[in-house]
Amino acid sequence: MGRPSRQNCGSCHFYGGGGDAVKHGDLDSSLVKPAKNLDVHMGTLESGGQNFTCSRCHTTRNHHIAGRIYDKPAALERKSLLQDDLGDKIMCESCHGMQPHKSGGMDSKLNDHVDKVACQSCHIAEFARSQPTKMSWDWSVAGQLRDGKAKVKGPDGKAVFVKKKGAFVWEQNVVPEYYWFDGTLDYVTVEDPIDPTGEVWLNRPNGSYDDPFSRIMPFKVHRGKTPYDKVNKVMVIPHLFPRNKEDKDAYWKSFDWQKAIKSGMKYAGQKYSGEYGFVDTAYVFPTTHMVAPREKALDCAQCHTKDGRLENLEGFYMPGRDSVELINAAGWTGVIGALVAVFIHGVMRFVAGLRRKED
Amino acid sequence: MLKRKGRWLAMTLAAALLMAVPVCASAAVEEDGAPGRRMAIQATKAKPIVRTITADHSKFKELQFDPEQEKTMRPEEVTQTCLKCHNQAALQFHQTIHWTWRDFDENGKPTDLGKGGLSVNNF
Ligand code: HEC
Ligand code: HEC
Ligand code: HEC
Ligand code: HEC
Ligand code: HEC
Repeated sequence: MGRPSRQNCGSCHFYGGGGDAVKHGDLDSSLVKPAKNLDVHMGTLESGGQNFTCSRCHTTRNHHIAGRIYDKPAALERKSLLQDDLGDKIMCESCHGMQPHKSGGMDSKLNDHVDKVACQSCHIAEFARSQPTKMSWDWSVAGQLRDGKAKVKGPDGKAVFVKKKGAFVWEQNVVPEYYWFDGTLDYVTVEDPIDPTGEVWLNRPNGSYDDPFSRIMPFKVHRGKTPYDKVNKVMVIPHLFPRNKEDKDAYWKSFDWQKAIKSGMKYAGQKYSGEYGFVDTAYVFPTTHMVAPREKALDCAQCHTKDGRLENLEGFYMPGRDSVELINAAGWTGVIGALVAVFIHGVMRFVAGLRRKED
Repeated sequence: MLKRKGRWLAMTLAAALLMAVPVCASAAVEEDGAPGRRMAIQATKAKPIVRTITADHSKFKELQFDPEQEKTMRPEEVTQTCLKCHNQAALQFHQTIHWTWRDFDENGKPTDLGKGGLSVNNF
């Protein structure tokens, strides 16, 4: 009898979405016994990791497990254990503090970022590094066969088509998308109106540059084609799993969306117009596990450049990315000025040194 | 904005200076102990976590099932035996999201948000 292991928590969390590595790009069965290279915290001791269990960070109180829950952030404040011994250990800062990097040289610049850039953004350069994760899922082609087959596997052995579920795309070593994040997400429920003319974001990170509690966070964005009500313009809940052998309404029995949606919406107590279609959707997952060894952290240039990782985030100035002619000119004048100054200074010291020798 | 640009300028200057300063200066930034590592090691020093336990469950009669009976037992029946001693565990667990599959409001009441509620996803 003992505390839960990674395997215990993972028997559900690694298999979310119906299979290994489907749902999260940073939680899959490779974390049962990972090397430090995959996760510095959960990595085995032999590989130099810390062998943390999930609850080392997700601390518990009366069976409540610390962590982000729907619209609630994982922690309200980013406090270190030195500041608050009773706080949950869920944040990176709980253990590492607010100024984790060295204070000399280039590293000290890193500490200036932690108020606007989440630790994860620099420390998880890519997710799904051990096995591919599902990046898109097209439900609209379910119920048919592909090349006469009910299941087709891709080159990496993961299914790319299943009659029950549709078509998938898997990716490994994925570069995350970055968004401002205050620790909460907004969700679309079956009651919220949607705009089917564009991609519907079923959940979306809240936050902005101007909010002092928001930071840039890395996300896995899972894209899909999912059923919706064409007349009422809402998402629908289809009934998938057959309740028993006679349950003809279930999609996985009759492969009939109409019956499945009607029955699912009725069960959820929702109206259904009787006309369904498929709409492009996106669903985000914060990326926070699989922290890589420090040597693998992002370089300055991966963000501070044109077409860099933060290209799509707007509304604030970032040196190197947003070139303003004047600043560039001023910057270079500064550099040359400094070099000249250093050179003159050096010559003076050299001359001074010679003089001392002469004395 | 202006302050930022100013800082960038200062930064470029500093970088230029750093490049020009003789090698001996960079030796000051040594390999050992960034503050964040020292703190984290301190915070998790007890490895493995020091925890003592005064009960050896393998000796509890309640948990010694007849091997024949075990074959047909349902998991819930085992849980029932645990709950005889751990008499708060079920009460606690029923209050958590792992049981409700729903988000909670400020008063701790389950809301419509969540897989057990009206949320939708695309996987
Ligand atoms: C190094 C600390 C750490 C460890 C170890 C850890 N987690 Fe987490 N986990 C976090 C943090 C921090 C968050 C919150 C991220 C956020 O702000 O949304 C999180 C979030 C989560 C979430 C919510 C994901 C989402 O979509 O928001 C799940 C589920 C989770 N962790 C499961 C696990 C499991 C299972 C394990 C063990 C295999 C584990 N965690 C180990 C730090 C950790
Ligand atoms: C429960 C405490 C704890 C939490 C929470 C935690 N860490 Fe750590 N972390 C450690 C310990 C302990 C080490 C090992 C330090 C050492 O030995 O140098 C470590 C090491 C690291 C390293 C250096 C790894 C290397 O050796 O190259 C990085 C980077 C890091 N953590 C980032 C993070 C990030 C990002 C988060 C949040 C997602 C986080 N940590 C959360 C305890 C923690
Ligand atoms: C702007 C990018 C960036 C951000 C944001 C960032 N880090 Fe780092 N971090 C780095 C880089 C790059 C290194 C490697 C530094 C080196 O090797 O000198 C590093 C090194 C570390 C180390 C090892 C320290 C050492 O020098 O040995 C730890 C621990 C760490 N970071 C934790 C964190 C935590 C915790 C946060 C959030 C509070 C964070 N980092 C935020 C880029 C970043
Ligand atoms: C994950 C992307 C990312 C990485 C990696 C990164 N930065 Fe930044 N940096 C930013 C963002 C975002 C801002 C704007 C923050 C703000 O306005 O406060 C910024 C601002 C700055 C600024 C101007 C504001 C300030 O705080 O002085 C400087 C200078 C800077 N970064 C230097 C660096 C250096 C040097 C490195 C490498 C050691 C680096 N950055 C790595 C994202 C990044
Ligand atoms: C006869 C009473 C009894 C039964 C039956 C019992 N336990 Fe316990 N259990 C205890 C006591 C007493 C403790 C506290 C021991 C301590 O903290 O020193 C404990 C502690 C625990 C712990 C904490 C272990 C740790 O490392 O901190 C867990 C987990 C646990 N029990 C699970 C179970 C499960 C699961 C079952 C059913 C399969 C079960 N117990 C059945 C009496 C019981």
